Amino acid sequence: MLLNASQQLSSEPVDERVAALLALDGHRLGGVTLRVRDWNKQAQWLDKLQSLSWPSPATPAKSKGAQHVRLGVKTDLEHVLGGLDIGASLQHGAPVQRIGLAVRADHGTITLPSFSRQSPSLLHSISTLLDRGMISNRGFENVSETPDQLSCVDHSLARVCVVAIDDRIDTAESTSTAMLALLDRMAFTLDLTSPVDECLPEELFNTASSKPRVVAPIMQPQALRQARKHLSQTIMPRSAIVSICEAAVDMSISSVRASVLCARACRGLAALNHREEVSTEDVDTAINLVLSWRAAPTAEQLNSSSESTQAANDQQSEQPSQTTSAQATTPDKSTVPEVDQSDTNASAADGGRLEEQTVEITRSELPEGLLGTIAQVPGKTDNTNRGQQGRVGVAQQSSQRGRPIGAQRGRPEGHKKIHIHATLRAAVPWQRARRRSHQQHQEARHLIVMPEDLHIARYSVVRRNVTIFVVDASGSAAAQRLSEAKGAVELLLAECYVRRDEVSLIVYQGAAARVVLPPTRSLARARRELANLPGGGGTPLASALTLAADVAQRVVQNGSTPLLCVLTDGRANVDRAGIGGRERAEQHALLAASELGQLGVRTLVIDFALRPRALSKQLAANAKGTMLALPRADAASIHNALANGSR
Amino acid sequence: MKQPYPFSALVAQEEVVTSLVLTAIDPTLGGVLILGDRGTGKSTAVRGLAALLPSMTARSGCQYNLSVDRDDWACPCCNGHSESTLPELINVPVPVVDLPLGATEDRVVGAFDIEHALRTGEKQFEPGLLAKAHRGYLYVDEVNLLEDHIVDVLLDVSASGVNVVERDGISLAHPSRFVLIGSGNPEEGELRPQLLDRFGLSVEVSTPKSLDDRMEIVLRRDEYDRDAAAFAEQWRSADSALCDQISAAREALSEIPLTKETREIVAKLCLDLNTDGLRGDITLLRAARALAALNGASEVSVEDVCAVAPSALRHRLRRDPLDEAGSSARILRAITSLSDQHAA
Repeated sequence: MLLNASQQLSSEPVDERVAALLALDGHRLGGVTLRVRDWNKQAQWLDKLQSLSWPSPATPAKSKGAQHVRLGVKTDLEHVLGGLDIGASLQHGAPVQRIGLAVRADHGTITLPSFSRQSPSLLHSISTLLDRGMISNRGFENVSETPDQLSCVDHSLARVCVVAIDDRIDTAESTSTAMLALLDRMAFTLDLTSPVDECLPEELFNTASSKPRVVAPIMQPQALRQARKHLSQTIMPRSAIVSICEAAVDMSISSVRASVLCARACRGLAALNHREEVSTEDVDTAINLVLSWRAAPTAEQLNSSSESTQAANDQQSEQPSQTTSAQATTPDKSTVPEVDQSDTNASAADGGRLEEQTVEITRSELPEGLLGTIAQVPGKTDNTNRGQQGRVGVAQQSSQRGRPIGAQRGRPEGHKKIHIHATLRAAVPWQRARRRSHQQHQEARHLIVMPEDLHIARYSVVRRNVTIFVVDASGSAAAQRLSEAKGAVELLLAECYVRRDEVSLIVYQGAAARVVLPPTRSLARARRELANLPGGGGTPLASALTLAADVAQRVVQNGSTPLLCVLTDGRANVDRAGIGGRERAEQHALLAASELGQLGVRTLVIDFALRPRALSKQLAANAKGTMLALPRADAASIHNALANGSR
Repeated sequence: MKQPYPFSALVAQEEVVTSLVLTAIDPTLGGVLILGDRGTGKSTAVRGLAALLPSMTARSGCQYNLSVDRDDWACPCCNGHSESTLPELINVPVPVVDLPLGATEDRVVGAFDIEHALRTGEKQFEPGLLAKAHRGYLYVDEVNLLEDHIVDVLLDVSASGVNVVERDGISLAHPSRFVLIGSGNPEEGELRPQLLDRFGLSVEVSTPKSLDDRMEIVLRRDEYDRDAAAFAEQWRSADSALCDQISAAREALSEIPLTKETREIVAKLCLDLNTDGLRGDITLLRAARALAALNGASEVSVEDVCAVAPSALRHRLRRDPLDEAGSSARILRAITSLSDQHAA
């Protein structure tokens, strides 16, 4: 449903239309997510956007025109929102305030690179910024005559427009809640990735001989100013609002904010076209720009996109529904996935392709505290971490976040935070001596702080566990004991609740495995996904293990501990490339398991076949994990098996 | 200052509106948890309510929003003054403080004031968000994703009404009584049971189902965007009427008796539903009384109890963490059977 930038709407390309709208009313429209991986394209579009005439800020001190700010990947929140500049303060011996980047970008844009890798706290602050359009200041009354001084106000205006650059290649990377919150507040999403010309060699060569870019503004400043003046006088007919709301309901967009943003876009389009009243054409364009991309519910996007790759591999399968023409003015109801009925919808879509049967969950017998026991199996990488059943996770020291646990001598470099109290306490005893030795400080009233006084704060963070369930939903599994396997996962889920673990769900069937649920704390959702899981198709075990390794690595990158729980019936008949054939499939699966073993991810293989197979045992051995045959109501034997396995 | 969206102009979120108004009448109710979809006007409602409430008096320059009548703690700005040199009393708006996810403990609790130390060499405490929120609202968006150590702080302070600071060589305790408003989407994570229990009322919001409501929202929002001041003017009389109603209800609150009959109904309902602890009973009683006061009634009726029961008890029912069957349905059943008994 996503608009591709090369598509034309009325006479202008979509991306220019979006740029003009943002320059016109950027803060109210929130901003735009750019899906782009090519740096050149990104820069070109940003140039287009910034070459437009943006409104000049109201504050006379910043009369140079609106500023466009680009954040880094790990920008400190204090730099964005402003605050005390500790380095400068220590140097001057007086507090020096730093003006936040967001305040500098008032009436301009904030570009957020690597959208998916920004910290949640930063994303949340920017969401709040879009809601409020200002930053509350504190204690600025006594700011001295430093260059960056601020006036005595309790808030500074920061009406910014956000350009979030989403450069994810792998769609399995999860969309965090902080991202979703910000996405909801931004009107547009532009897809600048066009697979065809992205790989063209000429373009690569052009980059090498980069000549200075000359950007012709896509709109005259005069015209934009005119439009801005007309913006609030444009008449919005009731019929326009009716069509917007109806379209939103049709697309099952639950957020009313989307409709509000759409109405704002309508008004902007009318103003850009010098119309006094919003026309139906404006409404159609606005619906395409603002609502269409939301039609696929964000949480389900992962599924549908991995489904489409799966479908691409599977040559017999029909074309995925995503190729639906985005130009259709009123999107066809049947092609739009519905938020509320996503489960039934997804299974209905699958139902056409595979012969599937939904398998009920039955009660299963598993020893209590299984995950806790498994987590105790010393892993290859860290054998110091000993999780316990019912414990939240393993406490670790960090220099960035968590519960403060004191200070240590050190320089506040990188992301280490200075511990002011300890630093000052270290400096105080030496003041008299330092005053004597440093002539120039004789008269100074302020504290003399030397580099050796610096202390940095230490924090303790709890390392969370993420249990990744890899569930076989193939036809053979359905024939075996899938229902009991589901029951087993459910028992383990309950255990995760006690331990406050996050869970993730990977399902393999047909041609490839897919991430049904990226790591989440919502166990209710995991349970529902599981309950609605239909069985059927081949068994791509190798692809499942590879995908699980990917997810596990990402979990490690996020600072949590992955725990892999593979449910299999000990058969594999689809290899890594999605081609049938038992022998190759089993080989690939064993290879993938060895890779898991090398990563040092703790793995539990649960074989739920009626008669456990050799493959599962070998998988567990390769992955340096534990194998467990799903017991038939005999918990004691499992405990024994487990004890032997973890030896 | 930006003109907030008028509270009376909210469309179709009756339960949220009522719950927020009830906490405004009786702040001891203990906060509201708003669970539901994104973009349903949760934060708009909270900000709108605070803007509508009668302003409160505090000493000029007081960073702790201390009430002259109720707080016997003296903040640095009021301390050490004789009667004549005390800062004057001014009217300040009811604060709404955002607690962003990822806020550090320093920012929430307050910390050693570096600026002051650098300037004067003296040790001083810089109050945090908990001090700012005193007598007002503390709004936590995505409360279910809040880090555990911040939750611990909130639990402690919201129970005691006092923020005890023993860190960085500072020891003090300042009053911090606020109405905790949390919002979040249960799809994205579970809320810790201890924190869940702290919230007096819990409300489930969903996107308005009817097209008319949606259109009305978009229409009003559009008007507000175009000219916020004119839009606020249009709703001023409705807002001030509600404000008067709340003030009157606050006055009347202590006059409304909690009869034996009312207490019996409440106890029976909670027994039926097998709620955890007694906080449910207490909150239900208080909420029903606040509702009676809002309606200008002289005593609490069965209808009042039934009307607030879902929001007061919804989050207190014992449930299987993986069970999705709605708590609301169980409460409604209990209410129906109770009113049947009552009628008989």
